[in-house]
Amino acid sequence: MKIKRSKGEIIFSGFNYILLTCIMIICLYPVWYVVVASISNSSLLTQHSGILLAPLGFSLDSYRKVFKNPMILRGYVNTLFILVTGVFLDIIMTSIGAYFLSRKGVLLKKPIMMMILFTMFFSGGMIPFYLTLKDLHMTNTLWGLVIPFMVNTYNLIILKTSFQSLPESLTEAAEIDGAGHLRILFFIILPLSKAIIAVMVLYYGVGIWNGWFWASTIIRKRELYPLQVILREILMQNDVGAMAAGVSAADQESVGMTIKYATIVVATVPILCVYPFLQKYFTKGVLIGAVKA
Amino acid sequence: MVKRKLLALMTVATIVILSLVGCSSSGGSNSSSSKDTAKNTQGEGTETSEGVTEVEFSYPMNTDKTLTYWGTLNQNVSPNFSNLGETPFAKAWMEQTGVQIEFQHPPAGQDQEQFSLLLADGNLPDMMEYPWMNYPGGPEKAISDNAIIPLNDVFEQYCPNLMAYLKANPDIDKMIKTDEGHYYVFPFIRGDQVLCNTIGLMVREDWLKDLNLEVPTTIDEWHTVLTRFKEEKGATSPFSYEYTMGVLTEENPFTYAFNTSKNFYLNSDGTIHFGAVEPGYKDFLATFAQWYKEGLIDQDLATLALDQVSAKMTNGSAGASIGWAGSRMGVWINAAQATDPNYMLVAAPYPTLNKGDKPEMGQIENRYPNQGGVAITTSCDDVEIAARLLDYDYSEAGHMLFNFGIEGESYTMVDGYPTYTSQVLNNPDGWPLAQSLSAYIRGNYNGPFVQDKRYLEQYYMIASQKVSNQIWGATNAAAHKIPPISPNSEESQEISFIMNEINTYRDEMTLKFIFGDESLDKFDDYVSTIESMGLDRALEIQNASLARYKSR
Amino acid sequence: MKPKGLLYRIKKDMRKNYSLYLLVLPVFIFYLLFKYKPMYGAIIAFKRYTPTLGIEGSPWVGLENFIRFFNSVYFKRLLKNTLLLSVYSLIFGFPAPIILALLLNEVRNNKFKKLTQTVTYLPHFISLIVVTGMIVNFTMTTGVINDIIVFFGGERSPLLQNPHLYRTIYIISDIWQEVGWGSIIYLAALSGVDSQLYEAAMTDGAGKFKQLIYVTLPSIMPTIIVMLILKIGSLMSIGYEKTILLYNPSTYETADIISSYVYRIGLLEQNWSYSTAIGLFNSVINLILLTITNKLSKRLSETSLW
Repeated sequence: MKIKRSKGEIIFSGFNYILLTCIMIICLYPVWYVVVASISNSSLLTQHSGILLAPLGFSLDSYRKVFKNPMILRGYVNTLFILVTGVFLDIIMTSIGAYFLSRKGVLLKKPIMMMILFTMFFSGGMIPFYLTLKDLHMTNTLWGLVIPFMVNTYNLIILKTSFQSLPESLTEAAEIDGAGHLRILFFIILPLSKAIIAVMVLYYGVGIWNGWFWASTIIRKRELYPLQVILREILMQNDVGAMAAGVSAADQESVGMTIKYATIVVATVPILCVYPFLQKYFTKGVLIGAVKA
Repeated sequence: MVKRKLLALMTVATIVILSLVGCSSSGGSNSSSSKDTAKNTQGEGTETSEGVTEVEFSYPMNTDKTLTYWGTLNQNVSPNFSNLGETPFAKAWMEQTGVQIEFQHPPAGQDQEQFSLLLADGNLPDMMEYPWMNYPGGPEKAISDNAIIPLNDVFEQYCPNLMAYLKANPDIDKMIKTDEGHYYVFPFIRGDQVLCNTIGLMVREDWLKDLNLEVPTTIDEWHTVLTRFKEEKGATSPFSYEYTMGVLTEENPFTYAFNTSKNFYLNSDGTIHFGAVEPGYKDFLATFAQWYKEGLIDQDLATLALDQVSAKMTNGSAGASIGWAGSRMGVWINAAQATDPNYMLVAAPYPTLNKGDKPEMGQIENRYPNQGGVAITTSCDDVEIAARLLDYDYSEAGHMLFNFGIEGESYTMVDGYPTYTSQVLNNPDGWPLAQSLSAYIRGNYNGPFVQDKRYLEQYYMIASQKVSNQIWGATNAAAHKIPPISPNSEESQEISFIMNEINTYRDEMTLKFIFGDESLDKFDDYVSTIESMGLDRALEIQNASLARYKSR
Repeated sequence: MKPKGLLYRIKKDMRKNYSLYLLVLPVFIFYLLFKYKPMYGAIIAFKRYTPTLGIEGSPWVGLENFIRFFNSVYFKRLLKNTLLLSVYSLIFGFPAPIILALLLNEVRNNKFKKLTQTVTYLPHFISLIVVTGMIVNFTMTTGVINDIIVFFGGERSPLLQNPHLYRTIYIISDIWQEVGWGSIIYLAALSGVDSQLYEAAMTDGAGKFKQLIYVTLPSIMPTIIVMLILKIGSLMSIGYEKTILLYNPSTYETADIISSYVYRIGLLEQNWSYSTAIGLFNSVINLILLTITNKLSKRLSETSLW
């Protein structure tokens, strides 16, 4: 394509690059700040005010302390468990649901679709949900963080739209060959939907990785805490003293700010690392999901 | 495959629902039947369900039962142990009593949320450690809601140690009962009045010396000190404290200086007053508003948390604060002396309006401070074992374990004085004192036992820490402390609704007045708004509760 | 005649699509168990829920909980704050990712485009706990934002203590965190626009701006509208998490919203029924809003959710 670019366009283009660069800096700076702060010398950091561009001093002490905390490793293991089982089950369940909803000539599809959509905007609320979890023995176990959250309606709709956009002839041909629904779904549709599945993995994965609220309410065994709950505990260490309110409630040695930043880095980096691997599927993936329910 | 799994899931669900229904009804009958048996056995002698007579009873118990125990995990334990059960303290506790305990902990800062949800589902751990007076509606409501069991018979039957203590201390006995005379908790008790003064003002002693100033005692002197800190020491926020931490704001010494409080207090006329609507509170607001305007108070007041205050107190941005002698004063001195050897903090007395007056009001805790108490829930099947386990904590051996840990390991007896070993005082792994203590004892925070002041004598290592309790304790605060009263079950919902609205409004307006967003001319409107929210009714309920308490 | 006919059709359909229904059964049961069962549990809003009596056994109190909420001194303020916060975040937050997607779409340098995308997605991965912590730090009088304000000749002030700035801070930080991530869907829609359309437009002599108005926007309009309906349908359901991490008494005036109130009442004061009632009220408003917008959109643009 050869396109003549007018003067206006060139100016616009230049302006565009500058604007996007600014946006990038704004998005990146806070992250940079956290990283830089985590490797700074903690006493220099507390005395510093103003914009921080480079580490103040250099020290990996905070990371050493973070990894000495016995909970961090356990948190990793738990989060990994929820992540792997969760993403796996989420994808299976969502695919099944999306497959059903993308089929033509099914009489009850519409009412079921309505029933599913309805839950997006109407919910029983926190307390009834908790009581349900409890009734189903989902409290105080890691499964309680997986099973009750298997299908996200929003994702289900995206996936359904994507399945609908696949050429019908493929499934029809398979049906003529006598393939069952499971076969069609897992051997024809899913292989064709790698991109959108990658997107789903990321959507579900990020949600699971960063989720903390339900974990913090239903888990009472500290051995089962996921990473974010521990992260929050460390970040919140301010408020804990309020409970003890004793002569001596808290630390002799204040928890250095650098430890908090290091914990943030430790708890965030893994999920950031996953992203580039999935990125190549990304725009391609949501493309099909450009929702039209 | 899928189908079968689902079937299984649904069956499980049904069973769960059914068993729930079963559980809750049996839970109810359980507690009443245990009461009955308790009465029966009393008549027959002291045969217990285990078939051991009380006289012959001795620790460790012989049982293979594991009990569940829910409570917050102290933040001095969590950095090194993932569970209280892993600490040498808890291991010793289990070994000495012979009972296995499964500890359950909510995440820090989420304890109230988890407590609410636990109660909502009705299936509770055997024992729960919680400030039970904060149960909405009070402890009596917790009993009538069938969450916890009344302990009168249990105490009588299985708890000789606690009963002995309560007999010897009738004032405490009165505190830990409900109006109806029910015991509901194995209490945490401050073993000495000294342990009840925990919060106060602290100020940079080295700066005072540099500027030739005395430790301030009046509001005017404080104004001078803070102003000079600002002008001559370059403190950008001379007075800074963790406003977001409820207790510290509640116990603000500058409010007390005007002989009022942010909350309910016991007036000299013998009735309960709500401080935040009194003229004294207006004067306090006026003072703080002026200081804020002059830049003497941290400009970020409303959002201040420990992080920022610690930073400011140690780097010279702030010169005075409110806090505890251990977790604030001690920590800051140690931290700041690393870079500035002259750095020193000193406790300042509760300020007054006129020089030489004795402060009328101040922070003080009841000896039963409503923390760390353990209740036995209606879900507990082995009330006796739970009770014996908890009663052990009030025995001589239990007392030593909870306050000093394991003899020969964490403490040794030196001339009859339990002295912490260097294992604790200078931890080989470099743990701070609070953490190494917390591995062996609960004396440095709370729990179901009587706190020993000898722990404190060794815990405070810096001179200005050691005198802080005395300085902060030199008030008439005890006369204004409301004893542990609780509304009855009908009133409780009402007062919690009223106070929820009032407190939200008061907190909001207090800050607006201080920041100057709202003129103090509006104070009368503010008062009448609070009154229209039902303050009179709330005071009525509070005073009725007080009257019931007195007649206990 | 008709109902019998319907029943017959369902039976016939069941027989025909037997295996398909069987396949979807787990998902169906999932929705029943984890979405509809709690909805049934929400009847505690009309009861005085007592755990030992259970959901069924607790005594009915009719509309008492709702009436109490409507009579609360804070009712109006909570409703207003919730609506304003959502409406503002709709007005400012909704177009932001679209604009970013359009800007990115104009970038020819693929490497730069990819880099920008990756970087702008970054904040989405950071958990809310961390984000709010950063906000508090950055908005202090000594924080970075005040440094910048001073640099441009302004005066230092505690930003998070100012009720007039609260919503701004809330929404800007929201945009910061989600703009990149939100743009994905529009970028995808943009890449699906038929390039022949552009070529046709160019032969007609349409400049960049005209192409945007006549080709680009109409092509991605369905996506925009569906996203908009979804947003409006959840106007009232702004989560409490960010609010409870950001607000303080001095900003209650503008910061306290229904969900944070529900949180305080239900989890901190153990008024389960009352809290559920408020939540239910919230859900109902949501549903009404959704239905209205969907109807409107159906009429105006022929795009709708159902």
